[in-house]
Amino acid sequence: MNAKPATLLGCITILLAALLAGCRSVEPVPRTVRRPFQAKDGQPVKVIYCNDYTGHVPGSIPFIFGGTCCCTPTLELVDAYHRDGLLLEYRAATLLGVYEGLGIQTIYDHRDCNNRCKWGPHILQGGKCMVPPTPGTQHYEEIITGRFTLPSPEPVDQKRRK
Amino acid sequence: MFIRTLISSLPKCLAAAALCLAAGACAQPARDAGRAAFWRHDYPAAQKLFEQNTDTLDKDFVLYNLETGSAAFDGGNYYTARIALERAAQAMRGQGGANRGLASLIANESIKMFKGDPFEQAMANFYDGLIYYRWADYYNARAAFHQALMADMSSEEKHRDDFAVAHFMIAKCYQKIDDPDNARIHFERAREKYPDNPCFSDDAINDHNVLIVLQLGKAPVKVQSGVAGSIDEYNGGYYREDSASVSANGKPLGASSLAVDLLEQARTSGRSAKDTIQAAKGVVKTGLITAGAMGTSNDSGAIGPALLIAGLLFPAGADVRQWDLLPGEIHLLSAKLEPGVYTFTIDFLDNSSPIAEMRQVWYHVPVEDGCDTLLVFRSGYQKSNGNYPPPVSPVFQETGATVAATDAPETGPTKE
Repeated sequence: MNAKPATLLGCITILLAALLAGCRSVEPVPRTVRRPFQAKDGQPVKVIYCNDYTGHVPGSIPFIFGGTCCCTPTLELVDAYHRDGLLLEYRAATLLGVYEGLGIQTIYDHRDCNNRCKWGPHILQGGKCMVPPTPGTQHYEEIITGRFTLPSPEPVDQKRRK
Repeated sequence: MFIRTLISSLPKCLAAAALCLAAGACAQPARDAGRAAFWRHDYPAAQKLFEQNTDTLDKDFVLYNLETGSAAFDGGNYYTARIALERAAQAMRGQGGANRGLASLIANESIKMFKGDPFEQAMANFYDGLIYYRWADYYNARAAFHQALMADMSSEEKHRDDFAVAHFMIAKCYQKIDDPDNARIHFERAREKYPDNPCFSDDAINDHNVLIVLQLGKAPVKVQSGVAGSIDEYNGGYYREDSASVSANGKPLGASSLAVDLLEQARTSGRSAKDTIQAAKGVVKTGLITAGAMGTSNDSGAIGPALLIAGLLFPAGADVRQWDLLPGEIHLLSAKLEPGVYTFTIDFLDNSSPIAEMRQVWYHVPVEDGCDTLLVFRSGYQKSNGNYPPPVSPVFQETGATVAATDAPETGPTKE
């Protein structure tokens, strides 16, 4: 029976401590400013940055080499590069090794993250994720067209805490 | 015996309540901001805000993960959605929160751990199954859809096993793993509920290679009703759209058909013992207030006001927490399309008339070769804005990279 007053006291202490500690403040999330609504037309936008879903755009070279191709390295893709006279010294395995060496995640590592994973954002946006974005989303169209607002960088003190 | 158990667990219940109060108060600003971001279709921001709470082990742990799951799922981040939804689904099935449940019998019902109504549990598993299906992991997809059916089994007796879309998806999984007998059984169950749904016809089942899941409207709204607001019930969420028509590269694929009405599912969830207790609490509260009021008017000393105050303070209100980011209806549409890349146009309809500000156009959506393509879209105002994204990203203006991004649309055939 002696334990009960002590437990009650503990409860009150926990409640007081929690209330005194206060809440973590909500970081302000920058609100996306959109221009007035206008329905899209049925004509597709031009693919600038190709990926596995859009299909490889002939003549483009990998983004990591300064190009616009974000396709996952496969035998077929490297054959396509070779047909265009590009990356002749590379094979699929060596190209994949370059991506791995740079710490870039491809669809072989995970999928369908829409570049919001811990390796994100997309390599186009300065991240380490080259998983193709999810079709039928705003982000997908931003990435394939290269028209996007860069995600805001995290504050320096928050980075240190990690 | 019951009273003794209640008294002995009082300190634990108080501790739980104290922690809930503190943690819940801290989580609320992020949740409100996340919800605002979700409804303006800024899913990455919503996910980021909801994720702040996903590890908070309090009474709303399930709700935090469901909200994160919704934001991630509707934002196309199926990787995170699966993790959050599975955590929520496991906690919903688990036995955690027993002390809080006990305390809620005498205190406010909302101090208990949120585990959702059967239709909410079913939807968490349904989303999980869709993700596995998309990844062509048909065994795990089937298991998740079965969990959705299991959750629905606790509904009212004649409405058990009526989560037609789960039966349909289980049948599709069986079809993929070459088990036609079981597939046929589940297709029949789906047809029993919606016999006129064209997606459930033999032609669609055997020939179509594109399945479009359309989420329409807003979740049913849980409100307090009954004596002293002690019972919860569901009202329909407000939304205009009642179906959708889809076209691929300008070719109409048809109108969507209802596969699950969540308001119907919510209203047929069934009543449990906790509803009886809540009703009793409502009667006690009303009785105390009435007795207090009569005592006060009869000038019976301090008893009247005491009863009145006790009645007013007695926590009888029903718990109206809910997963409010759900849609109101799930529709399906299936089609047969050649492999390639398509522009999908979705018009959400109000009484067969398209709602202009809800039109969605999505470019370069692939239809894959050799496997089913599963696409999921959700209705919303101004979701697919032709004035967005901006003309050129700031990063390319700064670096001067050679990007020929133009505002002009590409001409020529849309299919690649």
